[in-house]
Amino acid sequence: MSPRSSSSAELLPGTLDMLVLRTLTLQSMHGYAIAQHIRRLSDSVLSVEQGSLYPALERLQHKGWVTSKWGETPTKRRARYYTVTAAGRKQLGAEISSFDRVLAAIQRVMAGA
Amino acid sequence: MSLLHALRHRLKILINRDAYGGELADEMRFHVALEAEQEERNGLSASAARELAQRRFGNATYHAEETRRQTALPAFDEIGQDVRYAARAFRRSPGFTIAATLTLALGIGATTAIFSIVDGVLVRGLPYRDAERIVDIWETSDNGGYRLPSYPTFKDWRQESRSWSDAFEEMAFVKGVEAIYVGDKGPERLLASAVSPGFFHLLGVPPLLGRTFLPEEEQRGANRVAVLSYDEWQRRFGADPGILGKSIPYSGAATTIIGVMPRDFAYPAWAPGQHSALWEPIALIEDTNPSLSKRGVHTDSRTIGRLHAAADSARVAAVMRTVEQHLTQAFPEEQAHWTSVVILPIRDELLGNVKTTLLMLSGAVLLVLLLACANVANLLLVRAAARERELSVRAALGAGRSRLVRQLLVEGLTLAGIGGTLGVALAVVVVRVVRQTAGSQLPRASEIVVDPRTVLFAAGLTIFAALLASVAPALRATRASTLARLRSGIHGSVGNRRDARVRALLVAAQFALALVLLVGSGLLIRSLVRLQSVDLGFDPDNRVAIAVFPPAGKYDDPGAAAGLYRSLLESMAAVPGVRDVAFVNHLPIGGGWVTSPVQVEGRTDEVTRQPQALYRTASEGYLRTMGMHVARGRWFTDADIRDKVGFVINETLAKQIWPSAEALGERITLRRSSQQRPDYGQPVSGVVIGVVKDVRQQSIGSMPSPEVFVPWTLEVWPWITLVAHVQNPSREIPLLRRAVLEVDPRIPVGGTSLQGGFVTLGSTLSSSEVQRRLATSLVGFFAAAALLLAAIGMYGVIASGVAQRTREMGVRMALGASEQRILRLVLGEGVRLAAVGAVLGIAGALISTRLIRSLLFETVPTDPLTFVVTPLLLAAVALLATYIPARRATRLDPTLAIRGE
Repeated sequence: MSPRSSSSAELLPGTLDMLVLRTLTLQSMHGYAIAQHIRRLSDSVLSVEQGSLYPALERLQHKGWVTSKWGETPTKRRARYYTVTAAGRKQLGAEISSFDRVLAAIQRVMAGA
Repeated sequence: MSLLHALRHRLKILINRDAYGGELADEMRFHVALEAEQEERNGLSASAARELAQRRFGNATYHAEETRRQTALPAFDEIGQDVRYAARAFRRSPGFTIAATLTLALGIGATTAIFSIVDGVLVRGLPYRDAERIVDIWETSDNGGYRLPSYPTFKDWRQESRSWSDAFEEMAFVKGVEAIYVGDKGPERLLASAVSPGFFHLLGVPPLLGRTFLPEEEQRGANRVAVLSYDEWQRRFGADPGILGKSIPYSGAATTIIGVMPRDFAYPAWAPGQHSALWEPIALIEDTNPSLSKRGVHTDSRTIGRLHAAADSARVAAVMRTVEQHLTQAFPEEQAHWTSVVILPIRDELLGNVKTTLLMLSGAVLLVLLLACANVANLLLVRAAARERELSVRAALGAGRSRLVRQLLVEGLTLAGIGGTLGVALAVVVVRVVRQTAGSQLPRASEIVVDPRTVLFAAGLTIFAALLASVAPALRATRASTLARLRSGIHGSVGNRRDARVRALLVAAQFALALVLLVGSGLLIRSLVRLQSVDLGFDPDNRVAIAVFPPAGKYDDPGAAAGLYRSLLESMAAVPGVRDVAFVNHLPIGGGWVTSPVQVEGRTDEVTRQPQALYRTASEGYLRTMGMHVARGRWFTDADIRDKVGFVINETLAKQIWPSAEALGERITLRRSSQQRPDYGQPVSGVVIGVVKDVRQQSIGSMPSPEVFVPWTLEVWPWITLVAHVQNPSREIPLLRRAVLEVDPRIPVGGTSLQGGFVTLGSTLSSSEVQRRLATSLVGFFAAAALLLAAIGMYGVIASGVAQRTREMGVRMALGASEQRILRLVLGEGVRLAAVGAVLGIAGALISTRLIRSLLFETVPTDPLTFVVTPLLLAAVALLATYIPARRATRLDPTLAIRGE
C-alpha cells in the first residue's frame, strides 16, 4: 500500500491547497506553523501526514499563488516563510465559493437521508 | 501577477536545482525538529518525541520526491535516460545509425567548410574603415579606354582638391616597387609599395605596432623609414616587437622600421597572393624612379580615393570631368581625350569574381544540406514505422505523447550531435585542403579558418538539421490516432499510406535537388574541358621557365646585364637534354605585362588615340622555344637581334592597325617601357618584319590582346624570364639550376615560384585556373554527394515499401504474377519518383544555372548536352537504387510472405 492512498484519501481533492491558502491569509508563516494552524483550526479532525504539506506548497508556488523566502524565527532559527500573493487570494475566493456549493450539496443530501 | 511569481519561482529552481533539493531537506528537518520539541515540552522523552514527530510527518523521502515532481521540469535524469535509451537503440540498429550520422556529417561538414571560406573571404569584409567608400580611380578616354593615372596626374589632382572635395574626402597614390633583402640564403626579391602622404589615413587602419609616417619623413631627402607587413615581420623577424627603431638594410640602404601593420591590412596585392612586404614614403624614390615623373604612361600603381558619404559614381564623373579638362588644356599631348574617371570599389579589386564563385558554392552546399536533412528525415520515418511496436509498448506503459516526442527528439539531436562532430572534423580537413591548393589564388586565404564562430554555426546547423529531420517523424509517430492504432495492435499498410506519400515526396525532392547540382556541375566541367582544348598559340609541354633578377650592383648597367643574359643562355643551352633556350621580359599567362602605345608612321593619331600593345623584349630563340608560329614574314634572326632592325607583331595588332593592308614593311614607333631605366618613355622606331600567330597572354579564357615583340638588345630589360624546351623537366631542372649558379652563384634558383625558381609552363597554366578548378571539383563533389544521398533515399523508400507490401507481393505471386511482373511493379515505382524529381529538377536547374553564367566558358547555361546527359545519369542511379529491393521482392517465398507478420 503506497502512503499516497492512505494519506490523501482523507481529504477531498484540493482541500489541502485551500486550507494552506486560507491559513496564509492571516500572515506569512513557515511550514511547521502552517501545519500546526491547520491542525488547530480543524480540531485535528482533518489529519494528514504533515509531510504532504510540502508538495502542496510547491504546487502553489508553481502556480504563482504563494511565494517564499528564507527568514529567521523569533528564536533565531532559519526557516522558509510562505506568503500568499494577490492571485492566491483571488484563487482562494473562487475555491471557497465552489467548496461552499459542494458542501451545501452534501449537506442537502445528508439532511434528506 | 501570478505569472511573474510563477516564472521567478521556476527560474530559481532551474538555475540551482541542487540547492533547491538541499533547502527542501533542511526545511523538512526543521519541521520535524520543531514538532519533536513541542512533544518534549508536552512531557515525552526525547526519543519518543522524535519518533512521534517523524510518524506524523510521514515518509520524508516520498514527500520530497512528490514535491520535486510538482516542479514539472523534466528531471535531468529523465533526459539522461532518453540519451542512454537512444544510444542503446542506435547500437541495436547500426546500419541506420551509420547511414544517418554519415549523411548529417556530410551535410554539416560541407556547409561548415564553405561557410568558413565565405566568412573569411566575404562576410567579415575588408578590414578598412568604411571599406565600401574606398575606390580605385581610373582615367577614362572619350573612346572608352581606361588607364591608371600617372603620378604627375595624381599630384595635379591633389593640387585641385577643392574642385573634387564634394566627391572625395581624400586621395592617395601607391606604387609597386621591389625591395631586395640579402639574408643568409642569398638575395631575395620582395614586392613593396611606395605610398603618398595620407595613404594609411585613407585606409583608416592603425598599425599593429609603432606608427606610420610623420610628415617630415615624407619629404624628399628624409632618412629612410619603412612600415612592415605582418607577414614580413613574422617570417623574417620572428614577430619580434623589438624590431621597432632597428635599421634593416633593404635594397642596400639602411632603413629604420617604424611600424608593423596588422595581418589583414595587406594592400595592395600587386599580383594574386603577392602582397606588399613593406611600405615606404614615395618621396624617397620620387627623384630616382623615372616612371614617376612621366605623364600618360603605364606604371604599376593604384590611385585610391575615399568617397564622400553622399557621393556616387555620377557625381564623381561630373566633378572629375572639370579637373581633367584643366589637365587636357595644360598637357594636350598626354591628356587629350582623357576626359573623366571611373571608380571601382576596392572590394572588386581585392575579391574580383571570387564573390560569384563563393555564392555559387554556398548555394550548392545548402542544397546538399537540405538533401541530407531530407534523407535523415526519411530514415527516421522508416525507423519510426519499424518501431511501431516499441512505441506502442511504451505508450501502453503510460508514457505521454510529450515524453515520446521528447524521446524521438533526443534521438534526433543525438544523431545530429555525432554527425555535427564528424562534420566539423570534415570541415577542418576540407578547409586545410582548400588553403593548400588555392592559398595563393584566393584573396584573403589567411582569413579562412574553422574558428569558434564557424563551430557555433555548425552547432546551429546541427540543431536545425536535427529539428528538421526529427520533428515531423516524431509528431507523426506519436499522433494520437497512430498511438491508438498501435495500442490496438493493428499492423498494416493502411495507416502508413500517408507516411509513404510523404517519403515518396521527399525522395522526389531529393532527386530534383540532386539534378540541379548535377546540371551545375556538368556545366562547370564542360567549361573546364572547353578551356583545356583552347589553342594557346604556344606549346606548354616540356617547357620550364625561371625569372632571373640580376643581383644588385654588378649588372646595373644595361651592357653588363646583356653580358649576364648571354652567359645564362650559353650555360643553359649546354645542359644535356635541353633542346632550345630563350628569354623574354614577360612570359604569357601569369608572367606579368607592360604596354606601349604604337604609333604608325604617316598617321597623325595623337598619342592618346594610339593602340596599346603588350611590349615584349625577346631573344632569337623565343619563337622556337615556345612552339609559337609565324603567320607572315619572319621571326628575328641572330642578325636582326644584333642590328635591331625592327619588330614582330601579332595578328591581332596587325588586324587592328591595317585591317585590309599588309603590315610587313610598315614603320612603327614604340615607347621604351622599362620603368626602372632612365630612358623610360623614349620613342624607338623600326619596321614590321614579321607577324606571328596570336597566343593567349592574360589567361587561357581571355581573348588575345595586341602584342609587339622587340629585339631584346634594343631595350635590355632589368630582369628576364628564361624559358627552356627540355626532354624531361624533372631530370633537367636540377641541371639547369646548376647551370645558372655557374654563371653567378648569387642568383636565387631554388624557389618554387617563377620568381627565383624553375617551374613548368604546364604548372603555371593550371595554377592560373586553380580557382575555377577548385570550384568545379567542389561542386562536382557536392553533386556526387547529392546523387549518393538521393540514391540512398530512393533505396530506403523502395526497400521499406517492399517490406511493407510483403503480404501483397506474396498474394500476387500466389495468383501467378511472374518475377518479371513483380520486378516491373517495384521498378516502376522508383522510375515514377525519379521522373517527378527530374521534371522538378530540370525546372530548378533552368532557373538557377543562369546565376552562374559568368563562371562558364564558351558554354551556355542551357547547354543541351548537359541537360540530356544528367537526367539520364540520374535515371540510371535511380534504377540501380530500385533494382536491389526489387530483386529482393521477386525472391519472396509466397507462402512465407502471406503467412508472415
